[in-house]
Amino acid sequence: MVKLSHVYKTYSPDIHVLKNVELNIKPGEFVFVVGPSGAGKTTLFRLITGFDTPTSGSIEINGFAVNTLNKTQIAKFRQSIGVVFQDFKLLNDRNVFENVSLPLRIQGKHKFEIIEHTDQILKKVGLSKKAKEYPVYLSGGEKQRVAIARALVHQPKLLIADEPTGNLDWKLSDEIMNLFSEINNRGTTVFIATHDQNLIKNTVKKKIINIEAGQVFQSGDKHPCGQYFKPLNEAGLNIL
Amino acid sequence: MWSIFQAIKRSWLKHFVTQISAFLILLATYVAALSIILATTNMRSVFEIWGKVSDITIYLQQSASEKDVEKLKSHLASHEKVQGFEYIDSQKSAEDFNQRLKDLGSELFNQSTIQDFFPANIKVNLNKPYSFQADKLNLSLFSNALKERFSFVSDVSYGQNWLNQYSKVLLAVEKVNWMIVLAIFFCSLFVAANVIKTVLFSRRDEVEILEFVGETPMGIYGPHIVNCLLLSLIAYLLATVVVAGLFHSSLNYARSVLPAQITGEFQFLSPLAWTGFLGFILVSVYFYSLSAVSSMAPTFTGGRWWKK
Ligand SMILES: Nc1ncnc2c1ncn2[C@@H]1O[C@H](COP(=O)(O)OP(=O)(O)OP(=O)(O)O)[C@@H](O)[C@H]1O
Ligand SMILES: [Mg+2]
Repeated sequence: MVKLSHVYKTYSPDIHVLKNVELNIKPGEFVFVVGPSGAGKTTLFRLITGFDTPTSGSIEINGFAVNTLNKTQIAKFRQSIGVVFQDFKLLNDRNVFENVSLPLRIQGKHKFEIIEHTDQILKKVGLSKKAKEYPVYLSGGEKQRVAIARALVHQPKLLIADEPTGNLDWKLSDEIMNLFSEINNRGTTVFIATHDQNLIKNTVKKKIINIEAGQVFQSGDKHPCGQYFKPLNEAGLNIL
Repeated sequence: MWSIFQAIKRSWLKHFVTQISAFLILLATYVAALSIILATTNMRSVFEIWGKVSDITIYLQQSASEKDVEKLKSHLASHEKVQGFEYIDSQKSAEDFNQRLKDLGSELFNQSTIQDFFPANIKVNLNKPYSFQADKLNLSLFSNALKERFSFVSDVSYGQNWLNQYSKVLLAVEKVNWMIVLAIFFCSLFVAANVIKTVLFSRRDEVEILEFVGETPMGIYGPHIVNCLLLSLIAYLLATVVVAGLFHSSLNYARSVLPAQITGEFQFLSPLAWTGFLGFILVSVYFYSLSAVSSMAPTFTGGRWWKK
C-alpha cells in the first residue's frame, strides 16, 4: 500500500530532513507516525502525496510510483487517496458542503450521489448544521473536521492525516478516531502523524512508527506508546 | 461542462474589471487588425483600376523621315497587342497644346516657335487594358522592343513614372500596415496573457488546494481557456459589426466624393482576407491560452515559487 525505499530529502544547501527512510505499510493497517516537532513527519507526508519530490529513493503508494508521475497522473493518484494536512487547505470562497463535496465533483460523480455521500460524511463529523457556512466563520476544530470529511467523502483506499486531531478537544478527537477505526475496519489503510499520546493509547489495532531527526525506526504493537527508540543502525531500519 | 461555466462565472464575479479589460483589449485588437486588413485590400483594388494601361504614346525623334513613320505604322498595324493608333505630327501636337492653353484662357504661343519642342508621336490603343502591376514586364518588353527595332523612336510612355511611384508608395504602406498588425498582435498578446496570469496568480492558493484534492491541470486551466475562447469569439463578432458599420458609413461618404468607377470596387473583406483574419484570431487565442498556462507551470513542480 505504502512503500518507501532509500528515500532522502535534502533542502539546500545541507538541511537533511529525511535520511534513508524505509517504510512498508500493508493494506488495511492502522499506522501512527510519532516524533518530536521538526522531525520530518509533514515532510514525509508531502513526499507521499506527491507535493514534493524526494532527493533520491523511490515511493510507491497504492500502485502509483509517485515520484515519477506527471501532473495529470498525480491528479488521478490524489483522487484515489484522502489527505488531511495540518493547514486544512479549505477553499474560503466555498461553503462547507462545496468544500467537502469537491473530490466527488472532480471525479464527475452524479449530483444525487454527491449530495448523498456529502450529507452522510457531514453527519459523521457532526457538521450537518454548518453545511452552508463558509470556512472563515468556523472554529479551528470545525475546519479540521471539514478537512477530514473532505478526505473521506470519496471513500479512499488510503487515508493520510497530518495531526488530524490537533485542534479538537478529547471528546471530539475520540469521535474522529472512532470514525477512523470504522473506516479502517472497512478496509481503508490509515496513516496518521500525531503528537497525541491518548489517541494512540485508545486505538486498539495499530502500528507505530517513530521518526526522529529524519530517521525512521520501528516500534511494535506491544511497546508502550510515546517512547522513542534509538535507531538500530546508522542507516535506519526497515520497520517490518 | 457545467462546472466549467461555474468556474468562469466565479472568475468573472471575482475579477470583473480585469476580465473586462482583457475583453476590451481583444476587441480593440480585432477592430484595429480588421480595419487595417480592410483598408489594405481596398487600396490594392483601387490601384488595380488606376493602374490599368490601355494607351501608349510613342515619341519620335525630329529626324524621323516619312518613310520611317510608315514603317512603324505598318508594324503597329500588324501587331497583336495593338487595336488602333493615331499619328500626330509635331505641328498637330503644338496645335493641341495651344488649344489646351486656349481652353484655359491663357496667352497663345507662336505656333512655329514652339513646334520644335513638340515631337511627333503616335497614340496607340492597346487591344485590352493591361494591369500595370501584373503586366509590368509585358509592357516594358513591348516598349523596349519598339525602341530597339526603330532607332528613331525616342521614348515610349505609358505613365511609368507616376505608376511606379504610386505602386512603391502602396507597397510601403502595405508593409507598414502589416507591421502595425503584427505589433498590435504582440502587444495585445502580452497584455491579455498577463491578465490571465494575474487572475491565475490571485488564485494560487485555490489552485494549490484544487491540486491537493486531485483536480487535473485540465480542470484547473480548462475554464480559463474556455473563457479566453468565449471572449475572443464575442470580441470577434463585435469587431466585425463595428468595422462593417464603419466601412459602410465611410463608403457612403466615399461615394459622394469619389468617382463610381472607384467606389464600385470597394468591398468588405474578400474570402481570402476573411480566412487570414480568422487565422489571426485562432493563432492569437492559441497563444493567449498557451502563455497563460505555461506561465503557471512552476506551480506543479512542487516548489511553491510564490511563497519564496
Ligand atoms: N522547504 C523547506 N526548506 C528548508 N527546510 C525545511 C523545509 N520544509 C521543512 N523544512 C525543515 O524540515 C524539518 C522537518 O519539518 P516537518 O514539517 O516535516 O516537521 P514535523 O515533524 O512535521 O514537525 P511538527 O510536528 O512540528 O509538525 C524542519 O526542521 C523544517 O524546518
Ligand atoms: Mg508537521
